[in-house]
Amino acid sequence: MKKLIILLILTVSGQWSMVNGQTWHDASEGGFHIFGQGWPQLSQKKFQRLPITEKSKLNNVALWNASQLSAGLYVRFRTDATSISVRFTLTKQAVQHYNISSFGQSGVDLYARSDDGKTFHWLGNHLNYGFGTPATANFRNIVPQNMEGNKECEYMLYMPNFNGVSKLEVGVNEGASFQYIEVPEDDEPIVVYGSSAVQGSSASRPGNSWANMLGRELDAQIVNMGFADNAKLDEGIFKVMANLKPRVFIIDAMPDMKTMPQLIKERVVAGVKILQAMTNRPVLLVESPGAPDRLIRPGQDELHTKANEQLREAYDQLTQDGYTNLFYMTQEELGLNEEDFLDGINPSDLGMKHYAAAYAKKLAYIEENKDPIIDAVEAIEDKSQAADLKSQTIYDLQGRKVTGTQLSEGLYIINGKKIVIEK
Amino acid sequence: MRKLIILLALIVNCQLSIVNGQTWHDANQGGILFGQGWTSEIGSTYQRFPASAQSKVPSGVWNLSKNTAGLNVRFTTNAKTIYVKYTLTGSALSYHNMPVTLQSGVDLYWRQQGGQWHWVSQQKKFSFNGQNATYTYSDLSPASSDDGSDPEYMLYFPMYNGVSAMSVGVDQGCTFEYVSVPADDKPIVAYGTSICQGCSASRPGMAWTSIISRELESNVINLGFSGSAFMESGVFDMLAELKQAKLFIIDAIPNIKSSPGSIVNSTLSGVKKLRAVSDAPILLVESFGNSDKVMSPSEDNIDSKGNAKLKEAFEEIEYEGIRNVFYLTEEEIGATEDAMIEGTHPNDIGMREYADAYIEKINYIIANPDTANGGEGLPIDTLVRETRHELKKWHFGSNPGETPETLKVKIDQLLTAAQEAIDSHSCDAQCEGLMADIRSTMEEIRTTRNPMEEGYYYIVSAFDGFYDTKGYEMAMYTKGTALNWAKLDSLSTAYVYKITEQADGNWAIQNCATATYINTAGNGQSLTMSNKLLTNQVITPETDWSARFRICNTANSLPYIPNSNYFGSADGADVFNMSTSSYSATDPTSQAYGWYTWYLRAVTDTDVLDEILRTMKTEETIELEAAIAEAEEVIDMAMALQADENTKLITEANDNDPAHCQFSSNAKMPENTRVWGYYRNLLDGDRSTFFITIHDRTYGEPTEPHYLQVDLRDNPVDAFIFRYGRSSSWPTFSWKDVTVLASNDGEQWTEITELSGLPSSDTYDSPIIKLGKTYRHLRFSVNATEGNLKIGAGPAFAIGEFQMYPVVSADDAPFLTNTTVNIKTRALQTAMIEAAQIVEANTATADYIALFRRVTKDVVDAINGETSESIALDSLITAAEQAYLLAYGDDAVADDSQKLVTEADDNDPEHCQYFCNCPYPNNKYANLIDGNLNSYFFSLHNKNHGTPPEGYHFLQVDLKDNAADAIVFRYGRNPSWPTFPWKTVDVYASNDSVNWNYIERLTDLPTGTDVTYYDSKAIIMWQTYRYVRFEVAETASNSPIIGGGPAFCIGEFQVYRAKPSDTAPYTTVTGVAQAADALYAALPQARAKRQDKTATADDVSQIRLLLDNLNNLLNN
Repeated sequence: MKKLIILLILTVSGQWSMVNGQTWHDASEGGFHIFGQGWPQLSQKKFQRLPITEKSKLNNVALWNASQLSAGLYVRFRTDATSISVRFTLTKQAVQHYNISSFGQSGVDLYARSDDGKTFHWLGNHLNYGFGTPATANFRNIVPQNMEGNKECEYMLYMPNFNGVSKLEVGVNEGASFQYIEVPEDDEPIVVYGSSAVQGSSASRPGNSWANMLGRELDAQIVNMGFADNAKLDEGIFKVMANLKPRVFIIDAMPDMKTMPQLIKERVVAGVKILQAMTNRPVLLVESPGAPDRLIRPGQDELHTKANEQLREAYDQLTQDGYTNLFYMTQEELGLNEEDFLDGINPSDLGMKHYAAAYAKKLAYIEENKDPIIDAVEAIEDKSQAADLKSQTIYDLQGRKVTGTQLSEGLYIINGKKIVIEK
Repeated sequence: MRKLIILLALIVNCQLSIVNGQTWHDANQGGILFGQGWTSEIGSTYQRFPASAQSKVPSGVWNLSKNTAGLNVRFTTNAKTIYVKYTLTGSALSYHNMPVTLQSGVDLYWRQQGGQWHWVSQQKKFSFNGQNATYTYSDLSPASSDDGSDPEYMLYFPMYNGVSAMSVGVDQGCTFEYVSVPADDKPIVAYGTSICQGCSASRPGMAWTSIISRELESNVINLGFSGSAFMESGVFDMLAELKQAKLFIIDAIPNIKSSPGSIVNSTLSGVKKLRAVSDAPILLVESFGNSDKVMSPSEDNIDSKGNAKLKEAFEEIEYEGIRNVFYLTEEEIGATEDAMIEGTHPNDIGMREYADAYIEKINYIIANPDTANGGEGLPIDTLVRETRHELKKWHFGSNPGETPETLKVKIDQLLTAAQEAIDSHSCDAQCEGLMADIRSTMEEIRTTRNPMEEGYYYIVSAFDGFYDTKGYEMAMYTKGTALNWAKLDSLSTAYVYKITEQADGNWAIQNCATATYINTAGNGQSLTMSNKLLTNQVITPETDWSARFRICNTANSLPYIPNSNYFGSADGADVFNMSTSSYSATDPTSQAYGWYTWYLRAVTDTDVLDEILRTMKTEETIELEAAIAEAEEVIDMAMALQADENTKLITEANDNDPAHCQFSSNAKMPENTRVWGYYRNLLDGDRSTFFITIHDRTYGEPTEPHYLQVDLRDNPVDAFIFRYGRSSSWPTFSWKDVTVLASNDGEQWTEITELSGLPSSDTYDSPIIKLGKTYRHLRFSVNATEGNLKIGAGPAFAIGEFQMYPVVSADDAPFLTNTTVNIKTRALQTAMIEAAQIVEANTATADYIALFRRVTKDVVDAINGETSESIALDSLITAAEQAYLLAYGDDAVADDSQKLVTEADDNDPEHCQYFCNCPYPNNKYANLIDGNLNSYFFSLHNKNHGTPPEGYHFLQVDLKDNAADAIVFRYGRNPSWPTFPWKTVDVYASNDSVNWNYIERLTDLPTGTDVTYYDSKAIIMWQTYRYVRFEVAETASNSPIIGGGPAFCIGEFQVYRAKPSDTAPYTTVTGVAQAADALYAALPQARAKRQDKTATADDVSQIRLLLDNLNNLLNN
């Protein structure tokens, strides 16, 4: 009881300090930039993961609704503030899921970032928070100089993983500098498609989802396409993602697919083909980590194993079909432990950490071993401009590498350009 | 085969029963609740404290004790599905910083008999309906055990809620049996905060208490009380009831850090309470700090301060010899940045880190028990432990009272060898030898201590427990009447004691620093000091003084520790009386100060020592020092030290050949860089060429101040001056503050002096720099320049010219030729040696200072050519003049027969005895002696008619052949110019009209209109003069002032040879006139000898005889 009272006082005084001596910067009134969005030009600067233009492609209301949660979205700003306050309006009440804390579901999370993106330091709110309307989180006694010795310091502020944000304001102490950071135009993100674990359940706070951990580890934008209970490998979502040109696509949907193993192979093959029709960017297929309590639930684990087998078959099929730039991560590579979960499905912070470590290792491997990137282009060129075909790497329109010296008639991608071959 | 069949049958039976519903097993049975102390007392309630606690512990703690944190039941079953239903006492959903699965959920683990615990996920098959909750664990198929026994399950209760009912169900026909808590169970008791209670793990099994319980195979009683772990006495009373505990964990800092002042006392008294009832190990745990300490360090500081206090308590516990207490540091817990949810509580990552640290530490404790009687170990085991404990009481080092460090090394080696022997089970005969060595070395440690030596000592805290002062020694100093502490290396002055050995073998400790010792750099800790503190205390060696002594806070009635040494406390009286009232503004709850360990540290810093000595000196000693300094100057004057322009010390400056370059520098700007210079430029007589040190960081940053160094080679000096020429190109790089160092080997340098505020003129000669002995190398280390451009450790400098000269005695130095000066100087030098000894002894007296000053003055007089005879004559002449005047008085008669002016021909200067420096045109000197008052002489009273004089207007008389030694004048006032008569007149006399001697000033001459004539008093000039000048300083009206003084007007003016008046008071006495005349007659010669400084003793005695003669007559 005593503690509750203390908490209350802290929260109240936290709000008081927001009213007095804070300069507020409204992130929803322009001038700001949202990171982690695949379609920033289309989103009208809303904290949503898919723009309305994609809704029809999805053809899935549940998926569309999930895409309006702010998982993986973040803003970056630079300030010399010694006190940073955040107030934000949630689209749903911040009532807990039973298997996730309010911070994980509806909280924001703040990190300082070094200028070279190699070092991040977390900032805690030290119980100075509130989940009313607006919700608040206050970060005080900051010493920005401790980051790199500079008075100013860059921050990244993660949005809630399981809620939506309709309004966000960042307050700094009066007189402090403040500037939002723009998303670099040529930035190539990592697109992660998957289930609730991808979306961040059940990390204790947004920054501890494995996707966000990985983003910091690699200093990369992650486009979080994690849709809790809705990662069913629908055609629609692959069509949507095919418009992106990421450095890698990660497909991590087995935890949601294990109940329908018969569909896995077919959907994965179709989905990868949709992606690679537009670009041959690397695609990583990821197994389910398995049931953590498999020792006592071999039957449950069997579902995971079967799903993983189907995924493996899809991979083999694609390889046979000539698709390259495909990568595969096994349950063993993920290496999750039995204590890494909150409920048998969703990893806790410990599991998130192990996930992130496995991914970082795998992505480093992919970076070393991927094929050259050939994006499809719109212009189709005359064959006369095709130089000596023998020395070129040639792909068909599905992104398959074409071997052999004799090309049949048709359209091919050669040296990054579409070339018509006539006989 | 048979066994398999039986198993099958059972399984079938159990599976079949699914159809028939569940069998429920209420957990409310005696003796099956793990994680609960006082089970028999508590009875059937799921809570952590018995009712008896309610009156002992704060209500907040009591309320939280009803949360079921850490409680768990174990059972065996062959069921494939396990159902849990329970009733919560509070809302299932109350906190933002933890999931419901932790707050209100249960958590299931299982194991095969003797195997490891494994988690069973609930797969989100739970429901919370109001206060009723259910969990269903289905599809369980544990692999069969070897002996066919049923697997064992462990079910954790909610961490942040209460449970009023708990029941486990299995399908009918399945086996089910609760496991009882063994009667001889020895639990780990964990007392702590919300973190201990489990916040913010993802589920009950991930609280660190749960993790260590599984991995250490030990029952753990969770006494974590969210936000309420303040180590109250009553809480420890409760803990002490759990006598059966195998380990007590005290992990309260994350809460109690907010009142750090109470930590030391609470911990000490708590540990003692536990120790009184149990020998079990006690583990004190620091706060794990904050994960965001990089960006928000101040949040973490609070933890650090709390931890420092806990460490302080631990030090004290060890010192007191309380056994079996262990310590877990923040570093050992090692929280990472991912490990917290909001900055206060660990998430699962943090819980895992906590658990790992605990497990490692507890395993260590199990492997290294620290009990007094060593358990079943070998005798050497016990000896090693005992020795390690005793060692904590000893302080090793070089300070007085400390045991020499060599013995520390020796005992450490022996203990290491012994431990290795124990660990390798190789203890046989060699261990007897090791044990003997350990015992004898310990005896040596007990009896060998560094001796006390006379000298000055700081009192230093060996402890690092002050607020922001972790990790270094603190020394006491005084500020006003208060004791203060400051970091030893930042002290300019400290609280220092002088310790001297007494004749009876005791030692006197004298408080020699006074309240004048003020160090404003202190950190503001302020404690009131007893005014009788240690002043001139007599202490007994080896017993009263010690490397360790203690300060006790009597304000809080903390007990003295038996067997501890503290200064001057034979009767148990306070050594230091500390008032906590001003202890800390940041910690108003601070009521206790605890104990600190202090020891003596010799003062070795010469600056500090000098300051101490200075402060200790009496006023007389300080004055004598000043007198000695004056005497040194006088001796210098006598020696007439000077720079000899013909003896330049620096002749070679070849930049390309170090063998022919006397200059060097640590910071010479490299050649061919932006701007550089040569050493040779310093000797070329041209200030526009220069030498310059590094002034651009590209070329390095010297770690020492930039210096110029000179090698004098075969011409070492003991005193020198240097001539400095400022670089005309780099004027702001000229020297301002310079330290002069000297060396003979070029490696060991002695600081000679610091010259500060050197002039910024183009050239200057330094003062004489005396080295005390002969040196070959001189270094000029530059601390400040005009512009002070710092590169590395000091400013860059540039010089145009630089030369050094030895200082020698001048050829005409008086002591070389003047015996008197020589003798007096030697006498003074002898006196200075004695005076220095008196300063050292601090025993100077006013009489001695006067004596010393007289000896000094003798030298001054000698330098001035004076002898004692001529000085004696000087005073005799003065006395003679006074006596003569007394005899005759100054009343004189203007006797017409003695008129001295007879010629005043204005047309013929040869026949005019008068002269005025500024006569008014056509005024006649003849009018002064025409007997007519109405005809007058006027000085210049209108500047348009002549050249105004620089000084006073004067009238001068040439007595020609009538030179006189005493005169009187008669003044006739002109009635037409009433405001112009003389009022104040200075009389001068001369024999060549060039050099004038001042005789005296006549004041208040009559100026009234009733005055016609008046005669002056006798003007006694003591020797014969031809010229007498009357300078008019004032007239009646002082107007007009022309030039340097007022114009005057005289009707008549005549000068007479003075003749003593007949009415002079003493001349009627027989013999006075003769005696006075005789004395008067002797005076001219005496004056001459006085002037020539050739007086002899005879001359002195002659005058003295005549004077005595006259004085005798006058006195009769």
